[in-house]
Amino acid sequence: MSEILFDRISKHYDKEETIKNLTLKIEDGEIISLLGPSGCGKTTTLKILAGLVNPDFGTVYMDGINVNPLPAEKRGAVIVFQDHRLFPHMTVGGNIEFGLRMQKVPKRTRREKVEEMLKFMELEEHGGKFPDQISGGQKQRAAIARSLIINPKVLLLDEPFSNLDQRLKEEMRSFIVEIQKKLKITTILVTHDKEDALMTSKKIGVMFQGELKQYGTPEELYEEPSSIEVAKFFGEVNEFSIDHEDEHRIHTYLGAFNKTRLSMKRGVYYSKLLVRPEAVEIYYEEHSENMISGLVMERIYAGEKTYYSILCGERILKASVVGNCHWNEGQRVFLKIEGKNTMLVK
Amino acid sequence: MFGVKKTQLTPYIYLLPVISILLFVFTLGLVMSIFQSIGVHGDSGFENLTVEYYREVFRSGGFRSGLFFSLRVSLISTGIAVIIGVGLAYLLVMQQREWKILQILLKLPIIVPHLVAAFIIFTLFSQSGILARIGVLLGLMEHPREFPGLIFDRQGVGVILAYVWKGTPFIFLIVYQVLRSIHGEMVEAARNLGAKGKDLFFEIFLPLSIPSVFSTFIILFAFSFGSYEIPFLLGPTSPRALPVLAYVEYIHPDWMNRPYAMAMNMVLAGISVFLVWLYHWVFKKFRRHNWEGRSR
Repeated sequence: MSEILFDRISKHYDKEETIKNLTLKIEDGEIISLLGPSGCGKTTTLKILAGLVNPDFGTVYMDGINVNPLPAEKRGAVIVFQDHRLFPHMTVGGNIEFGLRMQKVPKRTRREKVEEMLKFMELEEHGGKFPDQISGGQKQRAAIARSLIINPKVLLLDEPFSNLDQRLKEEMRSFIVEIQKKLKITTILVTHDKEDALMTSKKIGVMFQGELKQYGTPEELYEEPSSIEVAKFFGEVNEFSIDHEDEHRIHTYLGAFNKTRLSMKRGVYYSKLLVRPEAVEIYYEEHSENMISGLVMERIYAGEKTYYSILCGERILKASVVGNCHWNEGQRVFLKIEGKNTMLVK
Repeated sequence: MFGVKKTQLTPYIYLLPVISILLFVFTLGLVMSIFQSIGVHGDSGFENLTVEYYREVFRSGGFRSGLFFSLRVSLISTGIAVIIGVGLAYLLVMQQREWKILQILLKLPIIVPHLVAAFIIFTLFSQSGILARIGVLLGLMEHPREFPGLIFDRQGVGVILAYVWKGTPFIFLIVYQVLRSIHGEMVEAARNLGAKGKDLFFEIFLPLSIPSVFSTFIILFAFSFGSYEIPFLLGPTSPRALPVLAYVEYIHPDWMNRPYAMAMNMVLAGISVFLVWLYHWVFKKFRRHNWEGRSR
């Protein structure tokens, strides 16, 4: 267990800045996710912490100690790689034992610990098998077991669910959360899938092009995104420019919104108003002020939700409603958007 | 259905003229050699079938010492080439630099023909060669003949030197690529788990490159064992390497010596077949060690 601080970390590869001035603090025993598209610098961040890559600038602290000068084997930060990287010439047991052998742990202790770990990871029957003889999920467990057996201070998971099918993915997500809770080990999970991050982590850092754009709880990221990029990463949004604002209201294409109903911070200049499709309410009739008239252009029924494209003036507004709704294409409807359900970004 | 079959057969049809010529020449040569080695030659037909030529060959001291000489020279030269090739590849991979000029220099011996390689070794290491003269110039010896007789010597040092010079780059080229892919992924994983220095070499690099090292060893050994030019040009007159011995018997003016040459050729062929089997066995045995890397 360890408290981690990335202090103004930068890294270049071939003149391209892979990580730009990253500052991030992770509390002891916390599980967080770094979320972002491929090539945004998430894996490099993990490798810098693990000591496999040196930063060009900045310092990594573990429990307040600068670990930049420490080699990988002395950091206690272990990565579980996306492709598992189990050693193909060793059995599952041999793979799990590897780290202990490197630490020169006596043979008897090693055996006992491997047995314990196989049991803990529900791999008892597979200890003598080779990696090519076990399933994807079992490989994942073996890779995690191999990392956990050496009691790391930090567990780093690089896209741990990307090679698994949906059922296995769900199983592994809860498995990892369970292990983290039991061992209380500081864990950083890197993923490009927002669902993985939301389902496993208390806090999420969103990265784009080497920059940490926002770090916060899932609620903060979803309801108060710092930018359009972050908002879009967590789902579809309707985006409107703010035309002008007066003392009490802001004015957009959709109409005017009372400032008291919006989560606005003082001194911040906002340029866009964002509305998630589920925040758009659809009615047959205009029954209150500020409702917008629209024409249903497209209706897609997708089981849990029904998705609508509604033409409002010259703009198409995306809306989604839980369950099966019966506004049909070509039908005139009235839309209502509550100010408290909108988001403002710079 | 016919279309599918036609598509599947197309490459074979295109290759048929070349394959049939190759197969015809190879099969004819092999069958004739087998027949001649068991006494079917000239006008005698199949009347005098015998294994006597094989017995004679195995009883002959010249054959036994030639066989031993060939095995020893091939084993030593291949062993040295493997040690140097793997060592160089490992050092270069660990440096994590391209070393382009060094790599080009290392590849040079591959394109040099064996005859030229023999000439280079002769020019460098014979008692009238460059090294002997440099030795005299530096005052290390009074006369070039004091330089150790490495060419035409009974130990086959000149032959070994030529094979090492030719074989090392071959080993290097193959093993270097394998070690590079291991270095990228597996070594990162091992370092992450606390491995360093010799642990990385013995736990990761060596076991994962075993199939490549073994297979290149077998290919190189088989080639050195069956090769004729270098031992003919740089080897001793006694003992003679097996392929040289077979050639001498083959060109002997007495037609009756031909079956002995063919029996020797069959022994050489038998050992080569065994090496091919060994090659496949190694791959099968160490299939889990066969790390080819993944796309990154």
